[in-house]
Amino acid sequence: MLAGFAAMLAGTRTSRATAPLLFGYGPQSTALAQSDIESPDPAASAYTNPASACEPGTRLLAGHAYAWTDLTIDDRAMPLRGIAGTDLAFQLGRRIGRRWQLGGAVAAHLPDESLAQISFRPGSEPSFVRFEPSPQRAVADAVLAARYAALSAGAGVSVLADARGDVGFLLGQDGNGTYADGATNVELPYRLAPLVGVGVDLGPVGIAGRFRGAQAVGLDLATRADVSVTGNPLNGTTLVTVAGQSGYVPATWDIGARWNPSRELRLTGALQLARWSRAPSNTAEVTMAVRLGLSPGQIEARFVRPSLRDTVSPRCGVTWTARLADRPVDLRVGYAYSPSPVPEQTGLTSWADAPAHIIGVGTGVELGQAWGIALRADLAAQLWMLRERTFDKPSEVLPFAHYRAGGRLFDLSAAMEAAWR
Amino acid sequence: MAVTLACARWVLVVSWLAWIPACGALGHDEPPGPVFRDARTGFVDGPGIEVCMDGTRVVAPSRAAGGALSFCVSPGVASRTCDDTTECAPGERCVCGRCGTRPCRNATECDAGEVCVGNRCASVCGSDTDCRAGETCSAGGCARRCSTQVDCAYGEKCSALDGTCIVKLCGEAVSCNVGEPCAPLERVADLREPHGMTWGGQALAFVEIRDGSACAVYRARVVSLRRWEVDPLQPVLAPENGEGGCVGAPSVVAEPGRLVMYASRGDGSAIVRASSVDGSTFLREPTPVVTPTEDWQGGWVGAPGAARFQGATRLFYQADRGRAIGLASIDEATGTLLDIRPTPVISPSMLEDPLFWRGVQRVTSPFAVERDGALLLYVAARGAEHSDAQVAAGGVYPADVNDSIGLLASRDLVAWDRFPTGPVLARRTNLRTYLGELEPAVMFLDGGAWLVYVGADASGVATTGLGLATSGP
Repeated sequence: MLAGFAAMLAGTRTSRATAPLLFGYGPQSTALAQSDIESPDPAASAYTNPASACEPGTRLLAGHAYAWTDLTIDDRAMPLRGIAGTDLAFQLGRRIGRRWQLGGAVAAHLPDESLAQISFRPGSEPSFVRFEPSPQRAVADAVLAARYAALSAGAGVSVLADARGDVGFLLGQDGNGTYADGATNVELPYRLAPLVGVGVDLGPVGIAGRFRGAQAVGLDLATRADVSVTGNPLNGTTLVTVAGQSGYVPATWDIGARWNPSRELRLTGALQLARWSRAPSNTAEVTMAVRLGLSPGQIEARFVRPSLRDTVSPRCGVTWTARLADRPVDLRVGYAYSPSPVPEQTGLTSWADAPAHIIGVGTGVELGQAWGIALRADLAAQLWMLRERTFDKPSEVLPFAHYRAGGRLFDLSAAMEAAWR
Repeated sequence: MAVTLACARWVLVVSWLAWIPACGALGHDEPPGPVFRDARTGFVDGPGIEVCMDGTRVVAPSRAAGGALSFCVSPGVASRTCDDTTECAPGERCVCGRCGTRPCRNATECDAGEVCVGNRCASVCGSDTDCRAGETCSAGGCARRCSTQVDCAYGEKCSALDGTCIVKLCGEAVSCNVGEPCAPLERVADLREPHGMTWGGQALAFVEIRDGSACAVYRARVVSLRRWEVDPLQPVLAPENGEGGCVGAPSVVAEPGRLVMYASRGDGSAIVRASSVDGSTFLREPTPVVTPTEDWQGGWVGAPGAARFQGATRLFYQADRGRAIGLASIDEATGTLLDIRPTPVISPSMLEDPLFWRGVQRVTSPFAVERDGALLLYVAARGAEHSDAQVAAGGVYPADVNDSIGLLASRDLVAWDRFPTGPVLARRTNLRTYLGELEPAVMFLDGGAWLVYVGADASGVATTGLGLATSGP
């Protein structure tokens, strides 16, 4: 496996960061292939399961991850933009009396290069709908949680900004000659998605559930160009509006379970339902109105819905706590199967995707205390192996009538965590 | 000791916190551009193909209103060979594998921003400071200074009058000085019905060269993506007596150990068949393969497009000057005509689309190729591929009718699908200026394809030479 990782590092283009949807939030979730719904790292609970945000203590997590992509269509590398980002999370929980716990948490994932990458592709052009460009947008979650005896629940919101506005351009003429003027007015209104988590802790076993609402970056931009120059036969107004949703992340329903057969061993499992069928078009709706003296006035709209299908993804993980130099060391391994939400392609669209086997490994080391703060370091790696999939459309004249999609993704994640108990 | 350990931990924490933001500054990938284009339909037009014949470039009559260019060459001066203009000296251009000056009769023959001064294309200038080192501004154009012939490019002469390099054009009416050869740069002829293929590991092309009403089939070596070299200089298939001086529109099928060519008589009276074992000498069969016998053929058959498909050669041909496409099947081993369809297989209405391709009135020059068990048929068709224009006053301009390249496909030669969004190649130079594309030929390569076509204006009458569009990565 190490040889495989090494070969992949040598043979693929680099990208930088993890996306919580794909790889999990933080090294623990990455190593366990997101099977830790019932027993997340409390510092990462705002993302992984809001119900765990009431865990007593104060924790701060700072992490970073690189992801290498090696996705191919017909054996040609798909030039995806790098996936890279920083994880910052904070969690505070307090015990209230004997049975109550209250807490809250925030978690953010900040891509290295941009808060959000908005990307629309021509409907017929092949694209990996799961991997572009959603891994490149920021995630900001905030939750509150409470626990009574064995029952816990948490809720919050995931915050995202849309882009909305207009761009004006004027080419005119006055006594000093021809001049150009422009103005841009872009707003970033907030969009909220609900987060809900519940859990039942029965000692050696526990079960939990999580719901994350769907999110996407909405774009609604209008560009207006006025041209008014003496003698120019093409004076007039052109209005182009581009609207659509990019970087869609589906709503997910997760149920998870944990079993501790012994103090050193913890088994976790989860099932995730992802509502890909609600995905909006990956193609922008474009309206163009040309009102020039001699030119065509045309209004065009193209809107292709991807018609994705919902997926159910099983996940499992094992954590074994050993002692090394009298310090506890967690060794983690996880596996998940991720079905493809992309159905057979029968028309102009050429979405690419394939079912994937996901393997994660990782470790976490307690570094001891410094001035009363417990320090911990975690490291994880996750490999996605997409099974090569062949798409055969029913008509030979359709664009990309036959193509194959497959490839791999490899993610490295590291984090430091400080805890005040 | 405890203090040392605590310090080490904090050093680790601080280093980590410093490293995280540093990761974001390690480097940034440029956003990827669209690189995946469908090999069969995702054609993007580029510069045209330069067809060379004995060192001269073949130019369409519409591009050579003043006749072919020739210039006087100083005795003993030879041109350098080249594959690309970047290998030539400043001011020179690589034409048909040789560097030379760029002669002209007027500025329309030069690039944008250039003028025609001293019969050579030159950069516009107002003074010497606008010109490159070694040049001077003469009559509004930069000219190379010279003291001897060595200072000038191939095709230029050092003028004793002002010490600059000039070009002297020559031809039937104007001769060069004694001892100076008149070197032809161009040959005016119409390039039609191209057909490219690979055979014996070599890229070959066959093309009809038309001079007035006369035409014949020539073979060309594909030297590079955009340069064909006619070789041999004689036609590989020439008209015989009674063929009206024209046989052309070649379509060639590779058979084991030989090439089989189908071509049509210029008068539409027959499609003939010839074969060659060396790729350059074709022996004509005495009996035509297809003659117009059905009413729907309108007394005219031509522009064959042949391909091996499902065990036989499928010969598509244009009938009634574009009213329909017919199909004949041939046993290539014996040359026997197996079947000829009694009705058209393709009609213009099959390409009609109420939004993307309207008023299709003619379908011509089929090019057939087998891919993945299906037969792809590229055709030229004449129609309007865009909506009518609306003007501010509320009036409507109808869209220009022009020729464009369309695609149909079939697995059984009975049911045909057409490309759903109109032509696969349709050019226009701005919002309202449509160009014509005729007589397609497609070569599939690894991951993509070349689409060679005959460029024309919207009327389809004035051709401009061979165009090349490519698909794939």
